[in-house]
Amino acid sequence: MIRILIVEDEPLIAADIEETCNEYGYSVTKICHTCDEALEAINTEDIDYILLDIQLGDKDLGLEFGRIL
Amino acid sequence: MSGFTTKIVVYSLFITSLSFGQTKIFDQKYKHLLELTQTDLDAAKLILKEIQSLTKTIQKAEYNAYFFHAKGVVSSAEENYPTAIKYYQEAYQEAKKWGDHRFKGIVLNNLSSAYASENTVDKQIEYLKLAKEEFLLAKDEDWLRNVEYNLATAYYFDNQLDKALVAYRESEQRFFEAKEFNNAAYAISGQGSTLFYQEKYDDAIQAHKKAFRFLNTEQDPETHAHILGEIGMTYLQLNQLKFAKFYIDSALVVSKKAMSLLEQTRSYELLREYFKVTNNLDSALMYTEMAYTFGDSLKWSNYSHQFASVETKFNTELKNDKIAFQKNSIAKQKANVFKLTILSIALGLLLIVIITLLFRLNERKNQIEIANNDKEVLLREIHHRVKNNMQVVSSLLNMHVRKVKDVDSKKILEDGSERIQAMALIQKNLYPHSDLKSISLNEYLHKLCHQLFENYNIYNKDVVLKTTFDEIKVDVDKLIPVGLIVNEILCNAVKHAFNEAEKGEITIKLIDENENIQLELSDSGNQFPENWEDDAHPSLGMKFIRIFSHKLHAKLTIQRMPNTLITINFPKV
Repeated sequence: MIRILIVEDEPLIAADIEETCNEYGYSVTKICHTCDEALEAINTEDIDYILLDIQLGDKDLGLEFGRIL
Repeated sequence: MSGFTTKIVVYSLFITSLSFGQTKIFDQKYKHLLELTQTDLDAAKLILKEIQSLTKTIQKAEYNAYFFHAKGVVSSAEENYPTAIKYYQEAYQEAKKWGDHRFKGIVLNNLSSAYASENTVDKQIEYLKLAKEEFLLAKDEDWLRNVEYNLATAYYFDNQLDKALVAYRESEQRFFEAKEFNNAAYAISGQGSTLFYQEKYDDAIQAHKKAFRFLNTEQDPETHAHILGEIGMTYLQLNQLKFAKFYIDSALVVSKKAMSLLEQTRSYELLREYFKVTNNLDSALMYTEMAYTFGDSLKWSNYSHQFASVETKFNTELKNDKIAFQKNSIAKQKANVFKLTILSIALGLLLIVIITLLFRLNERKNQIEIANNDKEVLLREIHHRVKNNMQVVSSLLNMHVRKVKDVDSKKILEDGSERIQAMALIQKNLYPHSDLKSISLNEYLHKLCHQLFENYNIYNKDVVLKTTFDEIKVDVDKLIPVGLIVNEILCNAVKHAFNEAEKGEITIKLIDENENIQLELSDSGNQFPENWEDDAHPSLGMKFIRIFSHKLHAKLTIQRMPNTLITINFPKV
């Protein structure tokens, strides 16, 4: 089963995405709301894909995080 | 006033050309000598020696008196007044022995003249009084009126003004009796000058003007100039400056014509006084210097003995005037420096104020810029939040969709979610615009169409989007309804016009019609449902389109040719 990490600062949207993923048969490993959480999850969890919101918080940190990844 | 004295002295010398003697030779030589003292002093001295030897042979008090008188006249001509006085005194003593009143009078008159030249006015007056007595005894009217006039002049110089006035009036009367009108004019003018010093200025002017009537101005331009000057001076005293200037100028012109250094000098002095009064110190100094120059010339002229004091007087006046002028200049300079200082300070202050203002303006500008920036950030933030909230709502509806089992209900919730997604997209496209009054409609629609195409997954259905947009700028109030209408039509086209795997074409045109904007949408698909635009039972999409059209004040037309053509025409403002 493909494991997905969701990085989205809006919990409700994140929940919608999670349900959508599940609907299509993917497993959501974890939902992170910040880049720091996401970095930690990358090191501790088994992840195949990351769904990353490019506009995290006040700044476009998601885009930066994506580049780092 | 000195001009009068001069005339009378010379006059008296000529008057003496009368025959006294018994010895004709002596008489002739004596007369010749008196004439020569005026022209050739050396020749006169030679004759004096001859007379001396004659006197010794004749040995009479009468001739002794003549001889000493002649010596006195020569000494006077040499401007050796103390010696002249000494000889005149001896002549007087001899004349006393002789007893001739007339001659005593003549000698006494000469004595007074010599004393006048020595500036001892009291002696001058004393001897003139004695002379007058002698001439009264001799009943010599000619001499009497002249002595009277001399006495008046002496009183005048001695500042005994009342006595001077009486004497001038008496001599005036005597001159009139003798029909010597010109001399009478002198006496009247003398009264005028006296009245001036008595501060009876109006009377003084009257007197001088009366003097004019009797003066032979052709023959005596010097006195003419003198009287004009006196009148000018009096008007100056009365502060009637226009009259004063007129008479002084006239005096200058006449004195130049008369070639009178004395009166020219006097005119320049009066001009100086005039300019002092009118506070024109530059001109005053100029005329002081001119008066000084002429006074200097006077010193070397034949009349120099008359003006022994002129030089010192002028020197003092010149010095005083120069000092006054310098003081004035210094005062002017100080005033200028003061003005300059004030001006500099004012300019400095102005500069400071301007700099401060500029500084503040700049500060204000910076503040405004910062505030503007803040506003922009805030606006972006608001747009972002609105869009985010819509997405949240959309997600919320999505989650509901999953829970609902009923197909119709599911469909309604899905439609709602999609519309909210579209609205979020419309909101998102407002981001880059800080000026919401003027947004490019064509750019906005271009972006929106492509994003909606992606959103509805139209590209996968082999449907081609063709756009022709004129460049148009509109207010945000127009922009959003247009966006919503386009969304509805595209949404409808996707859902109803094209079936799966069907090829089609959607055309969107934006036309600038000056006052209005025309939006044309057409598709090559399966048309709208039959009752799509039915007023009685409109679909939800059509309802929305009508609502948004109404908001735009737009005219909506739907044509069903082979392809559907929807035209929305709305005013720009």
